[in-house]
Amino acid sequence: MGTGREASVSLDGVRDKNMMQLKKLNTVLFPVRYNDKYYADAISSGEFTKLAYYSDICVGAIACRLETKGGTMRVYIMTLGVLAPYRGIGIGSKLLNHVLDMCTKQNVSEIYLHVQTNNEAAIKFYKKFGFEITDTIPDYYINIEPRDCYVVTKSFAQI
Amino acid sequence: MSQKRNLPSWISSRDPPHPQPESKKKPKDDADDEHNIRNAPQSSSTTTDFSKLLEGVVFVLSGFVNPERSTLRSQALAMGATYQPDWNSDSTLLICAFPNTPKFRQVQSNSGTIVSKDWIAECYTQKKLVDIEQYLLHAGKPWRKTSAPQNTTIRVEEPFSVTEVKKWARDDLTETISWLESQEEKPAPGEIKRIAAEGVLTCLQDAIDSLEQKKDVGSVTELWSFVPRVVKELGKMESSSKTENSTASKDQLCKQAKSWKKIYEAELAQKGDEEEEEAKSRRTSGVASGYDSDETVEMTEEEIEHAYRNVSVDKVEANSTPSLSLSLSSASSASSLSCPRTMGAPLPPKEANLFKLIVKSYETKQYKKGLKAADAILKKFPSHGETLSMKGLTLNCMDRKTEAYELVRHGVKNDIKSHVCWHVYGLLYRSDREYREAIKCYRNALRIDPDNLEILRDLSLLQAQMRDLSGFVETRQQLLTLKPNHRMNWIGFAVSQHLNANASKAVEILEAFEGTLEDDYPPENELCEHTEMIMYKVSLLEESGAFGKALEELHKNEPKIVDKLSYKEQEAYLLWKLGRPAEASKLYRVLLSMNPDNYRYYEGLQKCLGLYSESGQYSSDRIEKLNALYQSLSEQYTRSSAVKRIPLDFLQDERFKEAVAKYIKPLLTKGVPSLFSDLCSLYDHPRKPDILEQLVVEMEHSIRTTGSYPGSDVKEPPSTLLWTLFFLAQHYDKRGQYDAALGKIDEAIAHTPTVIDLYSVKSRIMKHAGDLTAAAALADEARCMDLADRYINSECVKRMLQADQVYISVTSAEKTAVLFTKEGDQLNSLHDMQCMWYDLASGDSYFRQGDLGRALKRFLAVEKHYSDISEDQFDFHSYCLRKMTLRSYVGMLKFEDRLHSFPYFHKAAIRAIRCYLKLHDTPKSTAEEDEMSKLAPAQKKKMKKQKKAEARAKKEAETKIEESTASGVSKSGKRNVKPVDPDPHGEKLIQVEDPMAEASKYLRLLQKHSPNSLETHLLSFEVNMRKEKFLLAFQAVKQLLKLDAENPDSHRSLVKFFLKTGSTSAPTTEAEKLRCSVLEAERPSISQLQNKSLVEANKEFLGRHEDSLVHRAAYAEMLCLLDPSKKTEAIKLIEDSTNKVVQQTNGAHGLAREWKLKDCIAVHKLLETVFLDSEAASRWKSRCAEYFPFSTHFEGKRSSVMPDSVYNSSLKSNENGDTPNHPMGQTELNDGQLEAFKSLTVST
Repeated sequence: MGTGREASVSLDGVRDKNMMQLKKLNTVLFPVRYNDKYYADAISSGEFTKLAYYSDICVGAIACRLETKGGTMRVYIMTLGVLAPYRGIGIGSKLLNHVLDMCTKQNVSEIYLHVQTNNEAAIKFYKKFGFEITDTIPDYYINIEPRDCYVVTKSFAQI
Repeated sequence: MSQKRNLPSWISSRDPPHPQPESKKKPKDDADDEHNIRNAPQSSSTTTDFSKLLEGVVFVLSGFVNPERSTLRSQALAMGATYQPDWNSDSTLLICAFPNTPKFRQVQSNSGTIVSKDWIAECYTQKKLVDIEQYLLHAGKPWRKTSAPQNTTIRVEEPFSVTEVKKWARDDLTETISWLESQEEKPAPGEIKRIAAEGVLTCLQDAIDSLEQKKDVGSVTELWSFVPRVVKELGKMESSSKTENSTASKDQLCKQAKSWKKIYEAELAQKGDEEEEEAKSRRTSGVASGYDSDETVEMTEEEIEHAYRNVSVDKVEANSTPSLSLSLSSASSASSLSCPRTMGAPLPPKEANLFKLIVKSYETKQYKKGLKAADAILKKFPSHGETLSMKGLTLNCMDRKTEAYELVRHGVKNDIKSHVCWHVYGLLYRSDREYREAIKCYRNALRIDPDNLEILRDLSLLQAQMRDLSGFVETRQQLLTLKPNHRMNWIGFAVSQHLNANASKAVEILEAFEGTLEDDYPPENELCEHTEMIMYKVSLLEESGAFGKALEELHKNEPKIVDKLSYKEQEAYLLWKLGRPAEASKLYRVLLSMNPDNYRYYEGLQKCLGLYSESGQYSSDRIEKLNALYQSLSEQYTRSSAVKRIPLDFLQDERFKEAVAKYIKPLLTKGVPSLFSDLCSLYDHPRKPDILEQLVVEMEHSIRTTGSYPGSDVKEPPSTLLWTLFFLAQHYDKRGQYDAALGKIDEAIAHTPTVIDLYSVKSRIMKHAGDLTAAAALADEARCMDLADRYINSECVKRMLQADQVYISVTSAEKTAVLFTKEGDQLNSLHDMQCMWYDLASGDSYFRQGDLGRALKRFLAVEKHYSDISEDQFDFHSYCLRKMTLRSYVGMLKFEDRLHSFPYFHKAAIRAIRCYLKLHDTPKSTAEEDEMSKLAPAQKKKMKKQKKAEARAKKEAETKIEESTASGVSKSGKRNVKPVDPDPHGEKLIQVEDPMAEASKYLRLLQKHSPNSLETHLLSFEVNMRKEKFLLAFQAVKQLLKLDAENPDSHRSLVKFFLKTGSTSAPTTEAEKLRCSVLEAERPSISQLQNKSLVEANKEFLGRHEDSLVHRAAYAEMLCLLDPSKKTEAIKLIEDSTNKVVQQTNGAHGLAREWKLKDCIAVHKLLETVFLDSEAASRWKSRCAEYFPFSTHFEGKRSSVMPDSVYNSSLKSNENGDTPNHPMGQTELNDGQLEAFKSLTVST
């Protein structure tokens, strides 16, 4: 892996007109059907939700929701995923890096997400970017095993 | 002839004087007269003014015949007299040819004054009032009404200073302008000042006129929306003086008004002058002097001529704009109302002025104003022909067509000798596209005024439009003779000769024109135009076969040609034509270095090297040479794709395989969705598709296993597999292996579900496989993935229409189509955009669903688009000549000539005729019931539902219309209501009396423009058989046999024809006898029937095509037709047909069979509706369901009619795209290192 020919990866925002792309990705990538609120949050998060294009093919996405907690802004990563054939060539990192950049630019206090406790690959991936497991929520998932999840968080030093 | 008040450029209908001084004598005098008359009102106020010499004289003529009569009359009128046809109490003077005419005696007894014509003539030539004594035949009452001022220079006490009045003038002008600008129909910005000035002056003149007639100023002000200060002041003075004395003050006021008018005129003219100067208009001199009130200015002959020339040059410029103003401009001639030739009485000055106002208002689109003026004239002269005509023309622009025609016709009747009336009549016809009628009118106008440039020019445009080529040449020649100093006339004449298939003559004309040019021609700013002219000339020479001369011409003018690329292309082509391939090929190589992707350059180069064949077939050694050529070229132009693509056409076998692999690989890697359509043409070749298949399958395999192409160790990006699968899916689709195609496309979708093209292609595969519903669902899925893409939106609409979802479902075609139209006026906007694919597809759908009205409506809309396109060329006849884009102009004309042979028209005409045939076959009243009874109960229900939906839609539409009109009104009263279609559902269309007559109309167009289409003659046969025009039908049969004798439909027509004509009873009438004898004589000429009965001929037909399903079906149908007792035999013959497997090199992906879905459906319908054997039909259906598992028609088990299908319309369409056949991500969840599983926080 990782020896693929060079191809440009670019990011694009999510709008009404191309929301179907995100839906298509999610149906393939995740076992959960997302409701309209998810998409509304994703669109309203603006720069924090991005589609990744691999030589003009939409292959992955990061979708976040913006929250405010005690006057500071928090970012919750709802989903991050890349289509199987296009993994391992840095597209996920690119998406996450983009969001982390946006966090620093916009003075976000922390960014967090939920991850299934057995998803080691994901946990390892996030740790690489300075995330830490801060909590465990039992029985977070209903339909999949194991039902527990970790809360993975990265805090930004406030300036 | 003191001054020339220049009306707008187009006003003058007269020609400028001819260059030769001798020839101008008479016409020029006339022209001057006209001008004087026209100028009269403006230059009034003093008696020395020529046009006021006879003011107050009301004269009657006696004993004169034309032309003397009209000459006299116009002379007297020119001097300000008023004409009356008969003597009454108002009359003051009788002009008599000789004593003792009846009128003479009448006037004598009334003690009126009688004078001989010489007095008028003397006054006219001496331009002064000659003593009347010696010309009197009878002295009676005063010959002039007393009120007219006579040599008076009484200065009224000025209540206001001159400077003050000047200020009024300026203020009035600005105010008028701003008022004009606030109007709905405002004049062009450039014109506004002039019009304002004229308006102010006309209003003032009106006030003066009314004062002279002892009327109140107030009566004038009522008529004007904007009253200038000066008139208001007059009104004030009038009302204040009213208390004291009446008439005397009116006289005084009148004088006052006149002196003010002078100031106004001077002031406004100055204003206009500045304005004009700014605009650098050459009109200036004329206008300036025109407004100058100093009547002592006498122009010399030369000056007049100069001014004329300026005006006319200007006129040409103004005229050549391809806008409505063009048509208006011709109305200009209307101003020559005082033309002595006219039969209608010339108008007195005031009305003459009003008339000018009409013309002007028309030009500036201030129709209401024009109408008011026209009514004012008509009040006094209700039968003035030219006014009636102009009123009609004005009404025409206000959408009151019937009145318009009535008035204009009335006008012509009243003044049949007026070229104005005829011209207006022509304009009216032209505005309704009745060009033939318009040409007739123009010809009449020209008979009266043969040298009228406006009319000639208009006529030439019409002739070009109607392709009246000889007439066009004639008119153009006349224009050139009349005005040889204008470039456009030379060019126009040349083009007319060219169009009239006389290219060499056109060259001569251009050469003659060049002879008149200076050496330093062209000036800097006309280089492009000149280039065009040279290139046009070269193309003319080329067309006439004079290649050598063309090349010479080209070389000679090289420095003057700015279009260097065209120069080189033309040069290369001519060199090749001249048999100098070495030089030509060198040039082509130069061109290739400029643009290595131009196929025409490659073609040219190949031709020069003797390596070109039309058919694309080459011998092996030529292939070698070609290959070598392209090898070297590809090394030279590494970035060119053409140089790589072209060899794929001529290379064979191994060489081909090698080249195509090299061609495909980078494109698959890069991800070029159009790759398959690029290579699609290779599928016509017998072996190439197999090679391609083998090659791409190998690639697929290699990429799957190693990640690289065969024999390479470079890792391909993950998308390469996707594009390879995508290509294969299209490949199998093309070869009819829908199963394999679907397998590949599904795999591709599973690989990358976000690529829209995958869904489009899958939709297309489903369509080909016979499942239109699924195709529509897939197209909609694709559409949802990018709502901003118009193309996939359109594609989706088309699929929906093909699936007949026109109005069944709410989410369907029409609504989708509208997504990309402008807001508001929805389907009309599709119509305005001439969206023909939509018209055709929705028409087809309506047709299939039995809604003939709507279907016809759509098909006729296409026809309308085509006539619009043909119409659109009109503007270019003048525009292109002026802009000198001659090559494109002639190209455009040739394109328009074969416009109706274009596919969309062809399709629309065929379908419209089909509609009419169906209308003919189903009598009106029973049509609907029939339709209902034929349907199965389930379908009936569907129909009912449909009707309900329709009703709802109709209601919706109606409310919408109401809304829109309501909102339209609210917008400051300015409504732009489009005419509402009175027949939106084509209900009236299907009420036609004689559908076959309608059908014949379109048939004629088809026969003219698509004579090589089988379908044309097939329809001709059908229509003429129904009309019982057997000879025409026979002609169609002969054409069919000529085009394709073995076509099943040709065969059917042949048999049907002779069966029908053979069975009609013995001929009774002469015509029938004649027909029989013709057929008798012709029959042996048909080889199929030589010494054979129809039954035998039919048998032979089967013998020739034993293996073909369609031919067997045709045979069977005819067999049954010839002998109904053989029905079982016929059905058996059809059922015994075998569906052979087409030889496949690679059988792994399902078998491709011979039968086409379309044909099988046709056979099914035949069994159902012609043989009326439902058992056989259902046997056929289940058999075909095997062959076509996706077909909805045969209810194949994989089609969307099956209840378990994802596309079954009863199931809710998957809005989220989670079609079960897309593998869910479950299995891939674990191996993804980036997988971040989350659910929503809302999940408990």
